Amino acid sequence: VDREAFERFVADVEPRLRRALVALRGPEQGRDAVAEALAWAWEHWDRARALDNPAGYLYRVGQSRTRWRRSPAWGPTAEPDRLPDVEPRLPAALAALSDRQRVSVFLVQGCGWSHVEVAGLLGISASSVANHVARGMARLRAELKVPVDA
Amino acid sequence: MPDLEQQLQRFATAVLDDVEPVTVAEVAGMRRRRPGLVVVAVGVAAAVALVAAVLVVRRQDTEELNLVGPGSTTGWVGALAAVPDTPETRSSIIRLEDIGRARALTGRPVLGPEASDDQVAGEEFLLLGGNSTSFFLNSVPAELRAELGFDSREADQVLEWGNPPGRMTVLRGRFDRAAIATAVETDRYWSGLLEEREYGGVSFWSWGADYALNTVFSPIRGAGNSARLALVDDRVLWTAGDPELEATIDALYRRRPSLADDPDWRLAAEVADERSLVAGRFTGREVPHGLCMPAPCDPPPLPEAAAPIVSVSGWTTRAEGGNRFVVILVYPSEAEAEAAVDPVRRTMEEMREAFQTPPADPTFEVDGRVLVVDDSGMLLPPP
Repeated sequence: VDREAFERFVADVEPRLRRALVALRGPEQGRDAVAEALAWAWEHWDRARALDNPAGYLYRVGQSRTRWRRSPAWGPTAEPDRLPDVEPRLPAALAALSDRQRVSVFLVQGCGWSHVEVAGLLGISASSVANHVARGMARLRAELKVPVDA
Repeated sequence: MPDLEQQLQRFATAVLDDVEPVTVAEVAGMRRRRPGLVVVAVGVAAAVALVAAVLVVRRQDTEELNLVGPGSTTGWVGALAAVPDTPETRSSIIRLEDIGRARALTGRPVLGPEASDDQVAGEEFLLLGGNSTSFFLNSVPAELRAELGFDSREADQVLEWGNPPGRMTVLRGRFDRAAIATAVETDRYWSGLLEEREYGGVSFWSWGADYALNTVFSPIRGAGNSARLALVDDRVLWTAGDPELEATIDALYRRRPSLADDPDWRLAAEVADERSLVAGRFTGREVPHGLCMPAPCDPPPLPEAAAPIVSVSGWTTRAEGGNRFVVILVYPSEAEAEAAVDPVRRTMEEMREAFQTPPADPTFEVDGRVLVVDDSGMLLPPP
């Protein structure tokens, strides 16, 4: 493996991959999934460097390689009172969303990604992402009893 | 308390602050550690193999293939019995093309070995309308036979789910194990990478590491994708990695639940069987429910109030009326199915406008907690 090229690849892909896989699996398992996905890229470097959409492909590798593990609690690892301005039930409500809804909501609303960016990662259309975000936010509002215009 | 969007931003920032970036040194270290782990893995594998061998011997007396129930062996309920119930399959579009049912409805016989490639491909088009997205139905029959030992003459159902690299294809039909073995062992492209392996008492052919892209290029596998091929009873299983293959084998042998065990998915498949669907796509709660043909398209989504638990969108063949578009929507209750009629009708009108299809008079029938839409307006040419 060309180490310098791989370092550039990781610098480019890892931040996006980490956000997406943390959204999918939570902080602990999400980080493991990033490591697994990048290990796959290291082992298959000729294939990985030629990918058109490496973050999207590696997202699926990370998703696939961690799919059978038991999910730990989804949310920040620190104590809840570290986030006084966040509804304490928000982590549980996010965890209860479908995977695609949670990833879409986390990346669009939490990380400021565009629908197109999320669509590229998940391999679905931007309108499907918009749909996941709308449904996910509606479920969160209902679960947290937040008024629609709040 | 800030609004929900601001809370999500603060929450995401806090979550991500807790997660250290993964470094190149860490990844390289994972790679280096693996040879050391092989010794442990070999020991564990030997123990697992011993236990598996005992279980296989016992299974021959106690386990049977998951055929779900009488009368379902060629139906769509039987097809769902191959789909493991996982978050990934529930969030995947599951496509099913029932060549056997199309033959039966149109009275067309299975083509014999004398048929030319053009005849085989033409028959597929005639029966399924040329809308398939499956590699199996989009490959040249002679190339399929050369590389894998069968083609669509042997197949009665083509079932697919998942996205690359984890896409799974399950074919059901009348396959010849000896012909498949000969083809894969003598295949001039891939035989160098071929291994015969076993999982849970099922032997299978394996080429390359999970999801790897190899240096081999062939007509069927394109740019060198790894593959797994298993023959389980009357089914061929085809995918690119062990996890999907193993989960499917486990579902077939009832070692884990399949979607046919879920009452909502099963109900959708039962109605699809009652309505004699020839091709269609299942979508669960995780996927925007499309009032869409099996062919790729991006229809207007159903409003949240009319979103079903499971839907099947597809078509059937009727001798006099040509092919008809049928949508099956399963709701939690009959009241919710009734309430969905108007929103679904409006969405179909939007779709008709978007696709510029001619006016039609679809029927909306609520049967228990299932809403069935039958629409001649999306007609395909009759075979």
